[in-house]
Amino acid sequence: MRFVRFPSVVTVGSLVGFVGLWFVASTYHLIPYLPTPIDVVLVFVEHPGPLLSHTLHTLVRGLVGLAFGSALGVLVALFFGWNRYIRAFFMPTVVAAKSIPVLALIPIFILWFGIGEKSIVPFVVVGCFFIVFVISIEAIANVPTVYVWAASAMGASGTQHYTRVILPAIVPGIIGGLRVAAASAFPLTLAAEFLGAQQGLGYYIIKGVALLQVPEMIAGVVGVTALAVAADSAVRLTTGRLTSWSERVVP
Amino acid sequence: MLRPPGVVSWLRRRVNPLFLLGAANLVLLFLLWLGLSESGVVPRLFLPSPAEVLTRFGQVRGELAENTGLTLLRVILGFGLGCGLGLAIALLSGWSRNVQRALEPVVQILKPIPPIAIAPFTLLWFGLGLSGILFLVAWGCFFIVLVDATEAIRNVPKVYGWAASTLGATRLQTYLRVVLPATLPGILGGLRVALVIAFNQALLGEFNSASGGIGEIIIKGYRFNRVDLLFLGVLIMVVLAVVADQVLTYSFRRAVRWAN
Amino acid sequence: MSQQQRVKIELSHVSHFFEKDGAPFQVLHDISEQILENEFISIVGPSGCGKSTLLYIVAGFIAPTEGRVLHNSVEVQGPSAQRGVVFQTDAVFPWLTVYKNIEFGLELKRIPKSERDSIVRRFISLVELDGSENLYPKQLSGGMKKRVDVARTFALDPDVLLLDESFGSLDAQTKENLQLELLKLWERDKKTALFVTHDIEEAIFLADRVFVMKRGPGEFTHKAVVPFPRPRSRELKMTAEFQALRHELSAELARA
Repeated sequence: MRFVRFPSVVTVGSLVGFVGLWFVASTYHLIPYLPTPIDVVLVFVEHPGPLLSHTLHTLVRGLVGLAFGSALGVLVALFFGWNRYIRAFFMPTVVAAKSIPVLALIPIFILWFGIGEKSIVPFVVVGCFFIVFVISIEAIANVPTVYVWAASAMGASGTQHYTRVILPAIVPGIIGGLRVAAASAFPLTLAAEFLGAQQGLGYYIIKGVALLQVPEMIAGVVGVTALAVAADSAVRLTTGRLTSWSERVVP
Repeated sequence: MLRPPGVVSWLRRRVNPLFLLGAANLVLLFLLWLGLSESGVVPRLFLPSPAEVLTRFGQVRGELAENTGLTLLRVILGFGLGCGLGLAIALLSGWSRNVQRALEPVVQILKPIPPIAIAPFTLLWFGLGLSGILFLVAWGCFFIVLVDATEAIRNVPKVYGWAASTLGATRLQTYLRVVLPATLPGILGGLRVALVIAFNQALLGEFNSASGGIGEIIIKGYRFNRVDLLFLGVLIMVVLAVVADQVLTYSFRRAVRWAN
Repeated sequence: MSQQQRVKIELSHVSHFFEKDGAPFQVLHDISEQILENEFISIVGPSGCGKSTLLYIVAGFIAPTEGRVLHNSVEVQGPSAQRGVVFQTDAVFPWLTVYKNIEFGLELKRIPKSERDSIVRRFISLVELDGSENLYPKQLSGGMKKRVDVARTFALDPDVLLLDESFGSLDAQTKENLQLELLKLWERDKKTALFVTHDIEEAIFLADRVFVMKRGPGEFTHKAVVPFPRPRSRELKMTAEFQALRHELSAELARA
C-alpha cells in the first residue's frame, strides 16, 4: 500500500494564515514598504517584459559561469586528485576555497575586468570552480581504501585502479558537488550584479530599491529563486540514474 | 633490530611530509605573487606588490583594527542568533508534529530563497547599520542550521530515547537530556557552512551600506582605485574566515569531546 | 601431509615495526614459517596481535620491515591476482551488480566474454546467489555481499587465498553457512589458504593446521594439527574431539 501524503489541516491552515497575514500587514502598513500579494502578482501579469529580459541576462551569465567553473573543477580535481601527495600540495587551496567569503572577490574582478559580463562571468566561474573542486577532491580522498586494495588483489594496474575503481566510486560525490554549484551559480551572479551591472536580476532588484518599487524587488527575488531551484532540479533529475546505486540519500 | 635512523628518516618522523607539501604550495603562490607584481608583468594598477600591501597595512592599522572588530561583531552576533534560532526551531519541530506542520509551508517557501537576495530588503527595512547586517547574517545561518539540525535530530538513534524511558525519563526529560546532546555532533557540518555564509552575508551588507567593517575598506579600495587597500581588505577577510573556521571546529569538537 | 607437497608460501624472518607516537613499535617478531601446497592454515589470536598485518604482508600490501615472504620461491613484491584476498570490511563495489562484481577481475585479465560469462554464472550458482545477478550491493544482506566477495575472489582462480577475519561481521547463523560454502568452494581445487580469525571454532573447523599467535610483538606460540577428515560437516563442531581441541587452543590463546 502506497502512502499518499496529503497536507495536514495544520499545514494548510498555516499556509492560509501566512498569506492572510501578508495581506493584513501590507494593507495596514504594519511592515514598511510591504506590497500586497496582489501587487507582486501584477508585476508578473502586467509588465513581465523587463523582468524576463533581466532574468535572461542572469540566466546566461550564471549558466556560462556554472558550465565552465564546474567543468574546470571536475577536471582539475580528477587530474590532480588521484595522488595523495598532489592532494596534500593542494590542501591550502582547498582550505581557502572552503572558507573564503567568495563575495570578497567581486570588487577585484570588477576592477580587473570592468562591469558587466566581463567581470561577472569570471567571478561565477571561480565560485563554481571552488565548490566543485573542493567537493570532488574530498570525494576522491574518501574512497574507501579497501576498494583499492581489493582491486590490487584482483590484478588491477595503476590506471585500472583509477578508471575502474576511483572514477565510478566518486560519481555520486561529484554530482552532489554539481548540484551545489548549480544552486549557487545564480545567487553568485546576483551578488556580482548588485555591485557592477546594468542588466540582470541583481540590477533589477537594486533599481527597485532605489525607486522604492518593492513589488518589482519581490518579483526579482522570485525570479532568482526559480533559477536556482530549476538548476538544482535539472542536475538532480538528469543524473538520478547515475547515483541510484549509492546508499546515501541526497535530498 | 632497527637500523640507526639517518637524517632523512629523522626529518620524516618530525615533520609530516604532507604538511610540507601544503606549505610549499603557499610559498609558491607567494613567490608567484611577488614575481608577477614586482616584475611589472601585471601592472601595479591591477596587482599590488606584497611590499605595497604591507606598507598600506602599516598606515591604516588602527582603522583596520576597528573595522575588523565591526565585521567580526556582526558575524559573531548574526551567526549566534541565526544558528541558535535554527537549532531551537528544529528542536521545537522535532518535539511537536503540529509545530512542524505549521511551520512547514513558511519554511518551504522561504528556504529556497538565496540569502544573497535578501540583502536589498534589509536596506529597505533596516536602513544602514548594524541591525540590517545582523538580520542578513542571521537569516543566512538560520535556514542552513534548521535543515542540518532537523536531519541530525532525525538521525538520533531511537534506541537512545527508548533507553531513557526505561530509565524513567519523561518525554520532556528525554528530549532535553538525551535528544539534544545527541543531536549536537551532527550539526558541525552545517555550522561550518553557516559560518561561511555569515561572512559572505556580512560582506554583502557592508558593501551596500556605508556602515564600516572590512567590507567598507574593500569598497573604498575599489571606489578610489587603491588596489593595495582592496587587496589588504580581501586578505584580511581570508585570514579571518580561515581562523574563524578553525576556532569554530576546534572549540566545537572540544565541547562535544565525547562524540566520535 | 604428503612429503611431495611443495612449499607454497615461505615466511623468512619476518619482522614488522609500526610507528607509534614517534617511536618504533614492534608488531611482528621474527616469524619464519612454511606453508605447504593445498594446506588450509588458520591463524588465530587476540585483536591487536598483528595477524592481519601478517596477512597483508603475505598479500603484498605491506612490505615487511625485516625479512621476506616467498610465494613459489619468488619474493613477494606487491599485491597480485595470484594472491586473492577476501577482506574483513565490505569490499564489494557498490556501483556494480553482483554479476559485474564477480566479472571484475576476469575483465582485468582480458578473458573473452563468453568464457567470462560461464565462469561468472558458475560461481553465482556455487555461492547460491542465483536470481540475484542484477542486484546492487545496497539491495543485499551482509551475508550475501560476503558471498559475492568470496565468489569474486575464487572466480579469478588465484594461486593462494588470503582471508582476513572475513566472516567477522556476520551473525552466527550466516557465519556458519558461509564457512560451509567456503569449504565447498575450497574442496574443488584445495588451494593453499591462509585464514585469519579470532574465532577459535572457526579456525579449527576450516583448517588443516592452526597457528596460535600472541601479541606484543606478534609471533606464533603454538601450532596444532587438525586431525579431522574432510569434507567437514556442521555436526563436527559438536563432537568431543572437536571440543577438546578447542579447549586446548583456548588455553593456549589465553596464555598468549
